[in-house]
Amino acid sequence: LPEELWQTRHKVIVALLWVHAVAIPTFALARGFRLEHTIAESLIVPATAILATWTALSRRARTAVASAGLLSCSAILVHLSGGVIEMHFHFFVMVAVVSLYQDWIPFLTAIAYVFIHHGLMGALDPDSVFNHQAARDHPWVWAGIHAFFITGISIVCLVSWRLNERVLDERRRAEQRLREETRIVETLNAIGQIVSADLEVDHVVQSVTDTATEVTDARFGAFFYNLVDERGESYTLYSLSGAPREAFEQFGLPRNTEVFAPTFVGEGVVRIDDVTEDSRYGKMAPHYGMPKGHLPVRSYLAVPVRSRRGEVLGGLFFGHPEPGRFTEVHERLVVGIANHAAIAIDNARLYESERDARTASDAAGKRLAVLAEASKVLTSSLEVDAILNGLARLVSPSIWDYCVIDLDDERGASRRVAAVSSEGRTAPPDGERLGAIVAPLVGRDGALGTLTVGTSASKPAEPANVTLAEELARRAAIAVDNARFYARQRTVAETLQHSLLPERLPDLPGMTVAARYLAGGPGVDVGGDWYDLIQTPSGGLALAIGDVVGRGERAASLMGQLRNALRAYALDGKSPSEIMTLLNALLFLEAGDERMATVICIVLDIETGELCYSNAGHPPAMIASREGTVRLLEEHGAPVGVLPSARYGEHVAVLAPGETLVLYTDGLVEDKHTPLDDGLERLATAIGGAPNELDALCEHVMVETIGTRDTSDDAALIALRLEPLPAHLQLHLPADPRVLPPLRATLRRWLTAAGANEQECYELLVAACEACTNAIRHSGGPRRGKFEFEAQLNGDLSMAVRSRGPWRKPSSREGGRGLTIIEAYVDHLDIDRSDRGVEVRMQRRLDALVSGAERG
Amino acid sequence: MSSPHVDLRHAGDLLVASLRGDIDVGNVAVVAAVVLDAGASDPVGVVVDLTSTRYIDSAGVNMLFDLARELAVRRQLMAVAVPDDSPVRSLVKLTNLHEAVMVMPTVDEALAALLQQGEGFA
Repeated sequence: LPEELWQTRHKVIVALLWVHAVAIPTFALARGFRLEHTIAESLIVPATAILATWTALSRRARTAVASAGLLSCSAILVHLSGGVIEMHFHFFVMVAVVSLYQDWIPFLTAIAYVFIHHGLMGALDPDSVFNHQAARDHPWVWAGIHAFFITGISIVCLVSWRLNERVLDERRRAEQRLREETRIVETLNAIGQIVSADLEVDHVVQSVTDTATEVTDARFGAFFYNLVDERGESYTLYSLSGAPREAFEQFGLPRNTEVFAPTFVGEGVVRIDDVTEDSRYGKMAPHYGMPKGHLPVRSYLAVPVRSRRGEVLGGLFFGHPEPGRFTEVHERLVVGIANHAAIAIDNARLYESERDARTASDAAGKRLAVLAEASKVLTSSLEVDAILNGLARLVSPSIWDYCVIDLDDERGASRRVAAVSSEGRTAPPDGERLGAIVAPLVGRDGALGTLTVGTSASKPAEPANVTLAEELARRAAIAVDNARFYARQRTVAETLQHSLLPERLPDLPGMTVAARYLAGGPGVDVGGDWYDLIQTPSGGLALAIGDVVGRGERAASLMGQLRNALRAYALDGKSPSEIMTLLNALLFLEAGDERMATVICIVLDIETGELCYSNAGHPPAMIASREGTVRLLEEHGAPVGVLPSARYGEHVAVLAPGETLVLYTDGLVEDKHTPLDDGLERLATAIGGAPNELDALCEHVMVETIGTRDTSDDAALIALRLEPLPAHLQLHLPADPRVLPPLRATLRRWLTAAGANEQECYELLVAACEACTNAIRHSGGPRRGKFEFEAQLNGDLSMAVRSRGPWRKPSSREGGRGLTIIEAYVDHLDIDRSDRGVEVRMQRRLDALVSGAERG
Repeated sequence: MSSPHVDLRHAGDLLVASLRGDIDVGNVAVVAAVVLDAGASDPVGVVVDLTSTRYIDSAGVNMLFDLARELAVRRQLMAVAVPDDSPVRSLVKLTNLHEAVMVMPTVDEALAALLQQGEGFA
């Protein structure tokens, strides 16, 4: 009997003793016994009650004392009642009462009490015990008979008690089983919920392992994934509970030993109370059992995790260092968990494969979109750097974390053209090129460079992304090839065109010239615009500007022919109208009527400013006065190349000193949105409002007329001005004999203004030119330097020619005669020779000044 | 062969080469070549006419001396026509050109003088 229950029942019985302790004396006194007799007889009852509550005694002793006390009560009551047989019923009641103890002690006490009491008392005072003679004669025999019956009662009580006990036990056990079943089901349900709520295989496996380890009270548990290598062993440790991963890491993978095999092949549960004693244990090399340092395992429980299709996904393993820890309940729990786990892993795998498939299809769509966009970017321009940077920005960060494009130049040196990274860095350090894909850019003539893409994380590159990178590199290579081909074509065309334009404008005394040329873009084709400036044999200047209609190398080459022809005609002293007629004939000869050109040719007398012009269908030249009013040289004929027998008129105008002559091509006045008249007005306004300095004027005009407009047509502009000559003429001249004719023209203009007559003018020109020729000769030949010419009136006319470089004594044939001439033509001649150079000073009195002075 | 600085005409067995504009170091070589070339078919000689020459300097005068020498080698005569009022006449005088070739005020006189001299040769 449980202690608590015994205590309760014992208290009731002791309480019953105390009731008797009061009731018996009362009954005795009522029956008329004397007080001392009463006390003597009933004293035994409280005595046993006290003794039964004395905790120093053992439970059995107290049980025996209490039982004896109650039985004594029956005996006293029978005695006090004078042997009334009915009082024996009290005894039977008491026997039933003490059966509450559910022990044999009270019954033994009862039997012994009856036997000893009846025997002893029957021998001492038979009448008080027995009521028939046979019993009185043999009190011990009859005491035994009484005791025998009591034994019978006791046996019956014990048997019935035992039977009840068994029923109760069974019920209790059933309840226990039910509770356990409930617990298992609940546990499994909870686990099922946990694992089915998760679709990540890793999480599922971990929570299964954790839960199973917890419910089995295992020291540690593990889930091994069933990956079988070609040798038929080797499993990947998947998750672990109750022990750190490091505890297993040193052992490598579990081997397919006799202990493990049944689990991995899916045979069933293996539960061993002490694995070290098991027959299957310790058979396999090299460890023959657990490797050294393995967590100690005696109790072992393992269960396969099988999928719905019967595939063994892996196994759950549990261990405990003490033997016999795992029960059948644990086994059943673990089997249930394994089933749940199998389903959850199946589901998670299904989900993951579906998710992977969806991700893959999303990624495929994205890759296609990137390819399409890349094609757009790569064909958007012909600037290599621009398109490759566009490509890099397109793929990073949308596909990769960074993108670097390197190109090899003609000399084989690598140049980083584009570098984009998602973190805003320009390029990842080389060490971080993990998970990188390097795709070569292969062009028509071999490798062009590389495209490097990748993620900062050290993930292996996806095969589909490798393909994408290759495809991007392929397209980039084609774009680079095209752009380079275009650039080469463009360079060829531009070189051709620039070779046809004056390398530099001649440095001419007394005038300034400035020009601009803007190649139309974009496109390989160059236009057919040109301008030129040629010194004529008469000492004048021929200006030409023209535009072969059309574009491309054919137009450029035709332009070159026209330009050279015009140059030759002008150098031959042909007049503008003659030049036009010859150009017209030439163009028909060269191109039939397929091509035409517009040309203006102007021959300018730089002494007088008179100009003679002829215009073949070109926009009119403009002359801007110093005040900014602009007039047009409007006369014109048909473009050359239109009419085989076209005749070109010649028209004259005057360019006064300080006025600006402007020639241009239609790129400045015409475009898709501007009619010619508006264009002319805009140009005239621009010229009229331009700064005086000629280079600045050109800049201003280009900005005002074209500005940032993206012109498809070329635009050329040339401006020329005869500068007003100051009283003190100072010229810095190139050491080139070709400077002499314009110098003479300028000097004539200046001398005429200074009042020199024709003879004086001629002689002074000869003197000046002899000195200048000498200066040019000993300045080291053409293009080697400059020299200075100076002229002023200070009473007399004085001129000076200064040149650097050593004095070379002229040969008697050339210089000797020259020096004689100078000496004859001037009043004073000084020649300073020094290391720095030579200065020739000449002075002459002018008749007009003399007569003027005389008049004054 | 031609030059914008030279006008050529033939008068009988004589060539008249009129030098126009400015004769200077930049064009003397071409002028001399043109004259020598054109005069090759004229057995008697060449009259170099400076009437419409606006400018000539030592380079031009040297060219005239050279021309005279070349023509002499070809057994041809040479005369120079310079009007008295021409500014360039002073230079002709100054350089003693008349010591090498005949200098006449007009082309006609120069032609006549050459023909006369040529007959003398003949």
